[in-house]
Amino acid sequence: MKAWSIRQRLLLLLGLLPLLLLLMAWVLKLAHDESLRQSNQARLEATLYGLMRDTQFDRGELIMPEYLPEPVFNSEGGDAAARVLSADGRVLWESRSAVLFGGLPASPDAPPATRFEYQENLKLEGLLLNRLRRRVHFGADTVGEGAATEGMLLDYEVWQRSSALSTSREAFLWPLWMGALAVALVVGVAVLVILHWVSAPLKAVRNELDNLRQGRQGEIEGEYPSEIRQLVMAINELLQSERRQRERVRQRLADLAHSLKTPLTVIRGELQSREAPSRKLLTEESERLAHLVDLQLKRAAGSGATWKPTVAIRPVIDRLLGSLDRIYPDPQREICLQIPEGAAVAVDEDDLMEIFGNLLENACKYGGKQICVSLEVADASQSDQDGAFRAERWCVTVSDNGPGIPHELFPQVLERGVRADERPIGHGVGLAIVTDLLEQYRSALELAHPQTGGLTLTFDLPGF
Amino acid sequence: MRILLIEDEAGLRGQIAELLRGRNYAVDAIGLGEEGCYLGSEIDFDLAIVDLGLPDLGGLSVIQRWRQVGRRFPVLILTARGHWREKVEGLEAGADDYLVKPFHVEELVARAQALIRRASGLPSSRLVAGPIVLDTRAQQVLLQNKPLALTAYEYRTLEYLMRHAGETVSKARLGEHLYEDHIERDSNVLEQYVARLRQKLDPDKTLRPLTTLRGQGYRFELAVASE
Repeated sequence: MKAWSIRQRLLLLLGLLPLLLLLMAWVLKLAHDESLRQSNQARLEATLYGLMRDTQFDRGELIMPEYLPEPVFNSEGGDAAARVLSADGRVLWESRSAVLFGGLPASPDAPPATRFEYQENLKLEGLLLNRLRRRVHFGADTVGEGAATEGMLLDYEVWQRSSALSTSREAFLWPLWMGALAVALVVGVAVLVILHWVSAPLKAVRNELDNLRQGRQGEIEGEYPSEIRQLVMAINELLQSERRQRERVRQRLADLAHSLKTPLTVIRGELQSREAPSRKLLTEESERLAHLVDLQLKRAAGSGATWKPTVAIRPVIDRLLGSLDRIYPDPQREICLQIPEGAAVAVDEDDLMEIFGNLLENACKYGGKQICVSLEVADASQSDQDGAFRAERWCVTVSDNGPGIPHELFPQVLERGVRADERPIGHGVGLAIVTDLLEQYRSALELAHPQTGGLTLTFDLPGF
Repeated sequence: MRILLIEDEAGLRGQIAELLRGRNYAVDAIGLGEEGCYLGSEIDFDLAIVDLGLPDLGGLSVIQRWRQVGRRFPVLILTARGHWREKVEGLEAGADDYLVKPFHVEELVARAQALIRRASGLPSSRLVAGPIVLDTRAQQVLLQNKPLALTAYEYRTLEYLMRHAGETVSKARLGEHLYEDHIERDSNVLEQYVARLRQKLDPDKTLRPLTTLRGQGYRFELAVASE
C-alpha cells in the first residue's frame, strides 16, 4: 500500500475538523437542552407548589384563587395553563388561560402518582405540549366538614406549549452554530498555514535531492530544523563516504593497472628484440595476460555507483570531440549534433565518457568525413521546473559515413578483443567495451548500415 | 630530432630509449617528473613522451607547465588505465596523442614519428626535395633513387634541416636537436657533418642543397614536399 504523503495526512485532518466541531456543537446543544429542561421543570414545579399552597376548602368544596401570581396563567392568550382534577377525572378548576387550549384535553393516560411527573412534547389534539402533574392527598382535617372521612385526592396539572421552550432553544442554537462555523474557518486557515510552514523544509529537501540527482549540486546544503537535520547529515555523510570509496577504488585500480601493465610492456619489448627458443609461447602468454588484465580492470572499474546523478550529455561529447580533434586532426570532418538542450542521462560520468569515447574515436579513426550524434526521447518525457528536457530513456544514434563493417562480422565485432580487421578500416576494439558497459544500463548496441553508407550505431540510455 | 622521454619504470624507459636511438633519434630518458619538466621547459624538443603515472610530479602537471611557459612541441602520453577520462584530461592539458599500456614498442615508435611529422607540417613519412628523398619510416635517404650511406648524426642533421627547409638554423639550435643532454657538443663536429652531407648529397656540386650563412647557421635551400 502506498504511504500517505504528509500533506495528505494533514489535509485529511483538516477535513475531519468540521466534523469534530459539529460533534462538539451537538454535545453542547444536548447539554443546553438538558439544563433548559431541568430549569423549566423546576419553574413548573414552583407554579404547582403555588397552586397547592393556594388550595382551600370550604365545607368540602374546593376553592381556588381567581388569579394566579404568574400572569401567564391569567391572560387568555397565555402559553401555559393549570387545572385541578378530581381523582375520577372531573375538572374542578382551570386557570383563565385554559381557554386558549379550547378546554384542556383530558389526560389520556393513567392518573398521576403522588410525586411530580414531567413530560415533554405530548401530542394532544394537534398541540405540542409539556406537562407537569402530581396527585395530592388532602386529609379530612384540611378539607373540613361534610367531606369524606378519608379526605380528598386531587390531581394538579400544569400545561405549557412546547414552543415556549423551543424559542429559547433556538435563541441559543443560532449563535452556537455560527460560532462553531467561525471557529472551523479560523482553525482551517490556521491548519493550512501550519501545513505550509511545516512542510516547507521537507519540500526544500526534496528540491535539493532533485538537484543532487541531476548533478547540479554535490550535497544537501540548506539549513534545516533539527528533526530533518539528522537525516540530511546522514545523507550527506553517505554521499561523501560513497564518493570517497569510489575515488579510493579508482585510485587503487589505477595503481594496479600501472604496476601490472608497465612490466608487461617491458616483457613484450624484450621478447621482440631477443631470439629465444620459447619466444612464441612467451609472446602469446604475455598477450593473453595483457588482455586479461585489461578486461578485468575495465570490468572492475565499471562504476557500480549506488547513487547515479544524471549527467548532462552535451559537455561530455564536446570534451571528447575536442580531444579527438587533437589526435585525428581533419579540417574537412563535419560534426552534427542533435542533442536537446539540457539533455541528461543517469549514467556514471566515467562510463559515459568510455561509451562515447570509444564510439567517437572509431568514427574519427575510420569513419570518414561526417559524424552525427543524435538523442531522441525513447520513452515518457516531461519538462522539469527549469524547462530542461527530461526523458525516461533516451535513444542515442551515432552515425558516420565511413566504410562500415561487413554484416557477417557484426557478432564478432561486438565480442571483446576481436577486430574485424587488423588494419584500421573498420570499427573494432572499442565496441566490445561499449557493449559491456551498456549491459550495466540494460541497454544493447545495435549496428546497421543505412542506405547512404557508413555505419549507424543505436542504443538507449536511462534518463533518470 | 631530439625526444624527451619521461617514464619512471627503468626497464621500460631503457627499452623505449634504446629503440628510438636505434631509429636515429636523440633521446633524453628521465625517470622523475620534476627533472623532466625542467628539461622540457629549457630545451625545445621535437617530441616528448610522458607517462601519466609518475611518482613525484604527475604527467598532467608536467604537460600543463610546459604549455604555460609556451613550449609547443608535440606530446605523446602513456597511460596504464586507458580510461577516456584520463585521455581527455591529458589531451586537454596539451598532449597530442595517447598510448595505452601495454603497447608494442614498435607502435610507440610509429606514433612518435607521426607526431613529429605532423608538427613539422609535413605529414607523410617521405620528405622529397628534388632528387633527395628522406624516408623516416625506413630511416633511409635516397639520392636519384639510390640509397645513400649516412651515419646516424648525418641523418639527424639532414632530417632536421629538411623539416625546417628555408629557415636559418643556428649551430646551437641544430646541436640542441641532435644531441642528448649529456653529450659534449663541439661546433666543429657539426661543421664536419654538414660538410660530409654536402659531399654525399651533391657530389658534383650542381644541386647546392645546403647553404652556410656565416655567423648565423645553415639553411636547406630546396623546396621540401611530403609524399
